[in-house]
Amino acid sequence: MLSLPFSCPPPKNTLSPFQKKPFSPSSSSVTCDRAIGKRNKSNSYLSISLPKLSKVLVSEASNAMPGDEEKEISAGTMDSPEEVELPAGLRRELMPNHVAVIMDGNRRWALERGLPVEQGHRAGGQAMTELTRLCSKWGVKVLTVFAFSTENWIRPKEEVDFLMMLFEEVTKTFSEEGARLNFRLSVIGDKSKLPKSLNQILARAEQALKANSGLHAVIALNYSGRYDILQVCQKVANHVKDGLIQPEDITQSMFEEQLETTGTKYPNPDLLIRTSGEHRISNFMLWQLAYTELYFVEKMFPDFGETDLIEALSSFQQRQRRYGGYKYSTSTN
Amino acid sequence: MSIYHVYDLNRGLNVPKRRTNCRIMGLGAEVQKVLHWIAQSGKIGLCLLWIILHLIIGIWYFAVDIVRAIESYLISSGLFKRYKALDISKVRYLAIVIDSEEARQTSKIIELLRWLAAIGIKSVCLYDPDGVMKKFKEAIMARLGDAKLSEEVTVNDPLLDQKFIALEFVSFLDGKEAVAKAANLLFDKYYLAGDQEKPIFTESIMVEALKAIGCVETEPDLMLVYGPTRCHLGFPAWRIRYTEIVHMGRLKTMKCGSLIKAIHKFTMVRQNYGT
Repeated sequence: MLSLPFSCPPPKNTLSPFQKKPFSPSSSSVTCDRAIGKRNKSNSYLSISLPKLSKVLVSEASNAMPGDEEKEISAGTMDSPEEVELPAGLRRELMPNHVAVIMDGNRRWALERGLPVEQGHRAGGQAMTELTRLCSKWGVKVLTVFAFSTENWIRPKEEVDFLMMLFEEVTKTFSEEGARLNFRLSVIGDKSKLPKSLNQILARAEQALKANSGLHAVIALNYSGRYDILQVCQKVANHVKDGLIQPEDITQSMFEEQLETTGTKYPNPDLLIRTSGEHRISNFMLWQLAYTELYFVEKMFPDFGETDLIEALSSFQQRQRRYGGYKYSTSTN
Repeated sequence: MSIYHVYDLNRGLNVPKRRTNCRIMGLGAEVQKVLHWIAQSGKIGLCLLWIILHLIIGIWYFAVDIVRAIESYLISSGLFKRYKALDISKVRYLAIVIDSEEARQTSKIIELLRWLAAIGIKSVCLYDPDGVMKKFKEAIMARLGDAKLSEEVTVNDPLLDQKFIALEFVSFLDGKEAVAKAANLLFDKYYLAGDQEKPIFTESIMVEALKAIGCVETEPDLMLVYGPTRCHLGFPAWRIRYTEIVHMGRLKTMKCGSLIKAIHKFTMVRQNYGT
């Protein structure tokens, strides 16, 4: 989120030893009537397969070759994720389908450097664009970023106005990048309170990139997890009133279909990254994060770069994911 | 192969080309042998390097585990000053999320609750997706001794004088399923009741609906997650807006020192609650 408030950073969240996880078709769409409960025999220590070592050597050698970066990205001829070489240590079959990011720490980043807060937000905007490019390149299907929360309106007016202007700029950049890199754009949140000009730019960008088939970038603007749940309650009540559904149809599964994130192929994130060392989800996608792997990073968001994303993805790929091993039943607990 | 003469520099003779070609082929075979030997040695070398790397990493993690165990012992024995005086008032409500398979270790859960009671935590919400702890709640309460269910604690009981630990047992059905039931209730209340004006559902309306179906509204300040995965396993979503989430590792490796450390870290965090 570009404008989360300043707070004292807690000590670093030390990670417990990595646990090897089995290969499983990654699916972030968890509904009650799916049971994915495979448990891996835990291996406390890091384990890398020997073939990967040679892959490390090969990929390092290929990374040394100049010009590869530009070769991969060219107007209208973006290599598909299957063709792009992944960084060392990452496995294509274990890439998360949906990554969510709480972009925290822009203000603190600027304050630490004696810069105006606006510079921090700009740096955050650049980091967000780069993050989107990398996710698109490495085969992540959906990227959701928490840009502005419903609670952020009480920030100083100048800062809020600047942010709205910055969102317009970033959206325009997204439009251009999206056309080049084949990604789509969606916006979730209560758009009614956003400036008209921003809404127009967002609508144009969404429309222009609608047909793209690559990464689906979702920007959460004026979003709140509770608001998301409430709007579903309102929606389903209206649907029942209009006779579209019956009251007994208001179930958890039906509820999930009405959330703001339902427009994506993978509505529930596999991995949530939060920067700046805070260990909470701050009212972001409350419903959707039930089985999402949480990854907290000490760095401020403008400093979150390619290496950090590789670390996050690598950490994700080495974790067990059981989706709770939960199978819906009608028994009451 | 045609035979023709070549001047041999060493012997000063004209040597048949066929012999030279044989020599070249013999040389090639030698080179191939050497290359093959190098390749084999290289593979063995790589394997050895691999084993050594594994060993180093294994020793490293073993050392880390030892250090953590020592640290935990020192913290729980009160030798570290900074962990002695915990500001427990900041932890008004603590959530413990446990993987359902690990939740069957009731002795471990009781030990954890005893530690929390000793630290001074007064209200704990125990969650596992399948409701295993809910099923064993009588046994847990009985073995714990000075514990009451949250719903039995009356408002008049002042928290500070509380000599017992208040426990709430929650499962997956108290989360998403409860929200769906609350939505049903809201529809019945606001849409079916005649010509009553249809309100815009707000958070306070939702909270009232959740209360009406028996859900606790209290938002935990801190959530400790025990299990292999670093997620909250479907803890009631409505309640964790600003909850600090800390992954503690597996229940079987839990340590009192780690618990104290996690709570201490939380007490040092400044929460702005989104404002």
